[in-house]
Amino acid sequence: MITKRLSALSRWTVSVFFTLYLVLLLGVALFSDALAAHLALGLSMGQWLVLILHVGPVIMAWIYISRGDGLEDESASEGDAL
Amino acid sequence: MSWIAITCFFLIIGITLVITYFAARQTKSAADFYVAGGRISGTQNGLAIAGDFVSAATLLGTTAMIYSAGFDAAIYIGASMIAFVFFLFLMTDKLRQLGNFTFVDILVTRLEERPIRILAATTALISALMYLMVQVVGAGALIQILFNIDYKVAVVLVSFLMVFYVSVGGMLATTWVQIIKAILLLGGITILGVMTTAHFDFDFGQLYAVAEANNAKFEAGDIDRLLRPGGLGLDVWASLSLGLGLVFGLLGSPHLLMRFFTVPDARAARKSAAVAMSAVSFVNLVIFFVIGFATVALIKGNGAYVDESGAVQGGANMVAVHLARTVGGEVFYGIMAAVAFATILAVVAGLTIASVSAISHDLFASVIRKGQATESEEVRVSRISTVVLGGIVVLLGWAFEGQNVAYLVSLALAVAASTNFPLLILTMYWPGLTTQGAIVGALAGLVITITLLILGPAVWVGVLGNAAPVFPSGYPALYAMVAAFGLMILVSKATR
Repeated sequence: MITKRLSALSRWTVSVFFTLYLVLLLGVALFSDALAAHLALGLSMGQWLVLILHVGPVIMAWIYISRGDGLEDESASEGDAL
Repeated sequence: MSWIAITCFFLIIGITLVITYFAARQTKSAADFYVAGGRISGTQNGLAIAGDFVSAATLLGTTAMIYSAGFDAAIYIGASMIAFVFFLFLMTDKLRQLGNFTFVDILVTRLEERPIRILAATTALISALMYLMVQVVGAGALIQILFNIDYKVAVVLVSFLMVFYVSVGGMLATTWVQIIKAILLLGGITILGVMTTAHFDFDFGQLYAVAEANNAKFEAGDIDRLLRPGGLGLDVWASLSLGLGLVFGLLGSPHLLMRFFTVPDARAARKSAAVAMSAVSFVNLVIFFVIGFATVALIKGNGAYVDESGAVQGGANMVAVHLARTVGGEVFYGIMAAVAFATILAVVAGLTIASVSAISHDLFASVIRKGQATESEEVRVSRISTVVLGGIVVLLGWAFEGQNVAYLVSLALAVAASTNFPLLILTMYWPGLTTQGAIVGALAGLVITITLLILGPAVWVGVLGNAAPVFPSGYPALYAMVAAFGLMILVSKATR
């Protein structure tokens, strides 16, 4: 069986950032005025969305790496591929 | 033409040729040729993935997209980050544990080998070839403007170098070309970003104000259109189709998937994804927040680079290179042009090795020779395939001259999104997938994507010269993906 349960961190990260990207895609077509509106620090809501989509996943990635979720039980299968 | 640009060009080509020479001496087995023997470290592989990921479409095409369509370029750069989220959190462990040389190795752990290898190798080859063509279009335009030589000759030159790197040095040479390119690109982008902001006294408000005012002067529409989405004129379906096609297309791109087979274990695979994600995030942010808007402020309407009709010298894809000349003079122009060229060479090499592995490993060794081919035979077929691919890429590069490379990428990724990605993700996460379901769904995805691409504006109007497209949208990925996933699930349920 290939499938394996995902960690809570994985599920949360994928769900949150994919949803934010869908907001961006829908916003471009449906609520462009809202995305163009200034939000804070001289940046528009759309620019903040882009910023979060680029900084957030990087932070979560390094947290995920440092925790090493699910790696401890996989040493047996690591040598299979080559 | 700048002598500095030419010097940088030949320096980069010289370095990559030396790397290829040394890599060739270490490339003896099939594992060496396809995945560098699995000996690449996580950090090295992360830089190489970043080198693969940040293609001509990002450096040249996304900047051109901001120049011509403003905020909507966020769809393109956002897609790369979401693709990395999926890669890291859902796919890297399984890719490394189950893959060998190509992603098709993963599919055949659960599905019937022969038909799946033929199908998946074909779809992998088509998607990689289309992506390859995009890079060559960008490279051709770049060399044309720098050396003032014919576009068609430039395309032949790039294809020749691509064939040489891959056929002689295999994955090891490709990896090191990509690592060097990634380092050059990160350095170049950083310096360009700093010099650009220095040009505006490190005042982002001033940069945006000049960009918006300049945009309003030369473009009809709202003064703040640069920050107002809508520059691409996408309706909701086109926006979703473009964005999801980019994300899932990247996840189904054979040249990116293959990189996860070059590291020794799952831990290194995760680190690869995180390093690459960090590098790509940085590049995207600098392009989106500084370089793109600076091209609008400094290049749009600038008589040195734009003619009276508004056409940019060398095409809109060259605005980033023109910006380098404006803020950094001839020296920096030469350096950035060479970096852009290295970018293209690295991506082209990665795509080529993915394409030839589909032919030599999946089709020749596994299907035609039924696993009986010797390693030397397999590597020989790889090298011959590389030469043939080089010829095909030249023809495709000539046919798509002048198209925006970022847009062309969306077409290439649409094929991967509607074929490779559904096959891979369902194999990994849905135990109910059957061989019949996989075949019907992937074929439907491929046929629908290609048909809609041919009937759409890029090919029906842009290449075939018809007055209006039969299929009005230029973004077919959503429709083809839904059909592919739907048929895979329905047929699998019916044939279990």
